[in-house]
Amino acid sequence: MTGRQALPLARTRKRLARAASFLREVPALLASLPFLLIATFTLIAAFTPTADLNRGQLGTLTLENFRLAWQAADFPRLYGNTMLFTFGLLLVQLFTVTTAGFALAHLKARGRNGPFYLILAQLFLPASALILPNYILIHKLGLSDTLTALALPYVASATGAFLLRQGFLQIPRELIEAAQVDGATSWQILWRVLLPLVRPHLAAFSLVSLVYHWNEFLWPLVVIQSPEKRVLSLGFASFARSAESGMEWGLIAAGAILVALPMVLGFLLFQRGFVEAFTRSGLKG
Amino acid sequence: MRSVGIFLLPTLVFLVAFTYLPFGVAALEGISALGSLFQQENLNALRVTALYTLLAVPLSVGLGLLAAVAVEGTSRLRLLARALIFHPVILPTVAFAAVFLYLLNPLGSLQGLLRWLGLQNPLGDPVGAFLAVVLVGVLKDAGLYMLYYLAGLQALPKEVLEAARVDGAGRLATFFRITLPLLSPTTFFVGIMATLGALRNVDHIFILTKGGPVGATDHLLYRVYTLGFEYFDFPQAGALTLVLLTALTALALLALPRLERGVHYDG
Repeated sequence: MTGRQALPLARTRKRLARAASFLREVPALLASLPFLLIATFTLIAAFTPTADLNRGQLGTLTLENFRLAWQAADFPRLYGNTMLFTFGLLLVQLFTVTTAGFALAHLKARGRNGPFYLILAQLFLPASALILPNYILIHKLGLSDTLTALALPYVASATGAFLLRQGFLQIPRELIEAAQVDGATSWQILWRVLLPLVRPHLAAFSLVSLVYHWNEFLWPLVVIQSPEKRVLSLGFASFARSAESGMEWGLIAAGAILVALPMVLGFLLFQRGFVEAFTRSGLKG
Repeated sequence: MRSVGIFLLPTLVFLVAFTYLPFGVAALEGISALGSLFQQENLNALRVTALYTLLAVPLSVGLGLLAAVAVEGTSRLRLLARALIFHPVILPTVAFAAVFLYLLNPLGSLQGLLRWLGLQNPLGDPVGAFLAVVLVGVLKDAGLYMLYYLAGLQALPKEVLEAARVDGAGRLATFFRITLPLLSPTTFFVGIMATLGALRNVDHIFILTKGGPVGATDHLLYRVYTLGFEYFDFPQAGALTLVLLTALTALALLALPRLERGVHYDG
């Protein structure tokens, strides 16, 4: 073989290898294509004048839809209420899931089974299935139409308790025993020694809780009546209803983007964190 | 450690108040109206919920599995595909569903495709509306199930797959005879989560169809809402809540023994 013949052969081989490695990516392309199309259509609709959109005429870009959507719903207040609800709830949850996770990890077997199953079974009794009785309770407590009532069914979180339990179980026992020898109480051990070590688990839980409650719709729909106490999903739903009857798709798309924007930005910034958090919160860690 | 039990108190108090006590409240409220369950509209809601679950669960789990197999790996394109498939999970369901009002409207961007499928105006037609609700539910959740399957795939024993390849097993044979059976704990878990989702997520119905047309998408939980908070018929809404809670309890009894084992083993 001379070099002259080997050269084109090597080139062909390289090209073939490149084609093969591209072919291997085809399933990933196909699987994500519908999602890419939906996202693209949403973006196009949001940035195209509605009149053009209904005529199937694309090409002109505008921010008009965002301006109109921003005016149609009281977005600053909706963002404010949603943040108050989600972050306020999270603050309380960080306390309840840490304490519950700690107890579940360190209770003696004898006293553990009851609470263990009581908490685990909550996964199958979601608040959305309990809207009617919970509304009756909230009403009796005089809390209907308040943001506090929105949070109450979620203060105890099985997902969080088991996520944190996982975290506490990973900490070597010697660390706790050493602290006990030094005379620390359970409370001091939890707060001073263990808490810094379960920070990743708390972070993962926080992300999942924020996403879940930011997007929550049904329970707020039941609880909130006053327009000035509405959260984003409620404001968006009523606004989408009127925009739909006018076939103002650009407005709907722009509104949807405004509602989802904080979560989408968070996802773009902390993609790996989101993926890990959602995988972990699937109980089996 | 002593006196750890006290740390359970905050969670247990709220758990009893807003999960277990409501169970009793629903029973008290609904018991007098149990007879109404056999009314046409309520039977229809049961049928719709069963059909929705039977269709949405295998579709979303199947799509999650397919997507996981397709995007496993670390090439840049696969990571991008993964993010695209996952992103509806973090979107508000109402916002994600609203986009489909546009996509599925008779003048929308998909009209060519829709006409080809014989569905000019899917949301105005009982079958079309039902399928649309299933589609949106499936696309919203599949990304989450993909994550669980990716974690499952990562945990597979590499030696077994290697051995299969050395023995000359084809890709399809390896997948169906080895990968899939090894993934069965993941499939069980994902199936339970998907069933739970199909029973409790109805936000998209509020946006897309409001239970219609002619009750074709009148999910049990959607009907609990309309009966309870539009007609203020608490007894009937309570009776339907009891049906829903019965289904969820059955699911829990099926799942808990195996899930609990998973929880213990991790420790």
